[in-house]
Amino acid sequence: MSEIDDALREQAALYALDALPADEAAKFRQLVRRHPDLAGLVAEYEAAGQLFTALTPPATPPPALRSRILAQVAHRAPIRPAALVIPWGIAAALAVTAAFLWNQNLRLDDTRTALEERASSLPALEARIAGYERLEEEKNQTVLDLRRKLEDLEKRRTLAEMQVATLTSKLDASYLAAIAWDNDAQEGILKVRRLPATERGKEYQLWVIDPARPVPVSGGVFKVADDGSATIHFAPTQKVSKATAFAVSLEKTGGVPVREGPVVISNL
Amino acid sequence: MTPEDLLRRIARGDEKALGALYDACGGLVYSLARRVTGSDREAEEITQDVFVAAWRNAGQFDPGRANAATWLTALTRNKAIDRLRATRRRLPAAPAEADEWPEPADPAPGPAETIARDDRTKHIRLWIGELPPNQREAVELAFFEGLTHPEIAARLNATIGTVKSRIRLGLDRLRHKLKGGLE
Repeated sequence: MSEIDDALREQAALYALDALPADEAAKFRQLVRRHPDLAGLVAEYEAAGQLFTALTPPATPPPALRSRILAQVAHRAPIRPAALVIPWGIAAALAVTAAFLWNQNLRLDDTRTALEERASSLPALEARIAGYERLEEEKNQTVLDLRRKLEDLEKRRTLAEMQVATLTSKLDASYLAAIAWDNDAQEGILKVRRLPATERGKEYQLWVIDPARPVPVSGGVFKVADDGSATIHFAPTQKVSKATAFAVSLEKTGGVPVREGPVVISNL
Repeated sequence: MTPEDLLRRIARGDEKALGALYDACGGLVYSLARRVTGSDREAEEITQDVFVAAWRNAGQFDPGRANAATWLTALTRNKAIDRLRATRRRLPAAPAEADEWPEPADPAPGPAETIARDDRTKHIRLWIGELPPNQREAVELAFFEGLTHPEIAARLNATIGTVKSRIRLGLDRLRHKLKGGLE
């Protein structure tokens, strides 16, 4: 510490009089331990403060006090100065320990300096961390986008592998139907337009023609809305090896295991 | 034999030296303890504590840093202020009574060993008397009442900065006087 400024002098004066609040005194004590010139100033202020003892009104202690004090210390040895009583070996060990502690102290000072330097670069580090966090978010978003694209591509691949067919009617050319069939998933979608409403006790029944089976496999029954439209997600009750054609027949309500009614629309 | 010599003998376990040190400085210690605590009983206890501590720790006394009287009065003030602050924590704050103590410039006559009859003490009182009253008051509140600077600021209805400055300036003046020589 090359120069002690006024603020530090004020702290030193207050410290010398024990007039600093405990937390401030503790911090200042650390400073005094590290700076001998500051410690010297504190000692001078302490000596100056002690002069106020001269303002003390003189008072006489009770006569019995002297004998009480002497009685209290009788048979109690003073604490001997360490240098007089410790063997040279212990003194040497203490010297080594002191040197070690001094080195530790220097290292702690170095560590403190390094920490202070690091603290000064903290804002830059925080900015870098914020940058990394933004990059992380962007990366996560990219991964999410890629996943969505992958799912989209997967759907497109599925659609590409789907079997699509248009059904027509020999009864009425206005009847329309289209079917998409996923053989791997064993499910499909049927959309119909302008089919006539079924009579009471009747329903349409979808059939999947599989050459591996002797009779068509039922894809379920359905009714159409007033405008003759319907969209049916269907899954045949039996395994279909390969769907070569689809047909819709008019059957009794609840359907039949083997087609009985007329074929209304098909791609046969 | 000076008090410093007595402390050296005390460090070697000389009980008679302790008695002699008490004869030389007991009044000073007791007076200061009484001034700070305002209590005869506490002053008696503190005086006993101080001399027992002197007996036990005389080996730590370093004449290069302070004379024996300064060492004893620092010990006394520390113990007295500790008690004062402990009492203050237990009791609600009471208004200060300015006339509790006699004017220091005109002390009542006391025993021969008291500081009031010493030339050195007269010099010191003169120096302190030359201090601006506000500086002297701030230092006295810290020294005798153990107040911290925020407490002094509250007591004097002054800013903390003002109190810090007054105390520093007051001690600086006395420090320079001391450097100029007393003895």
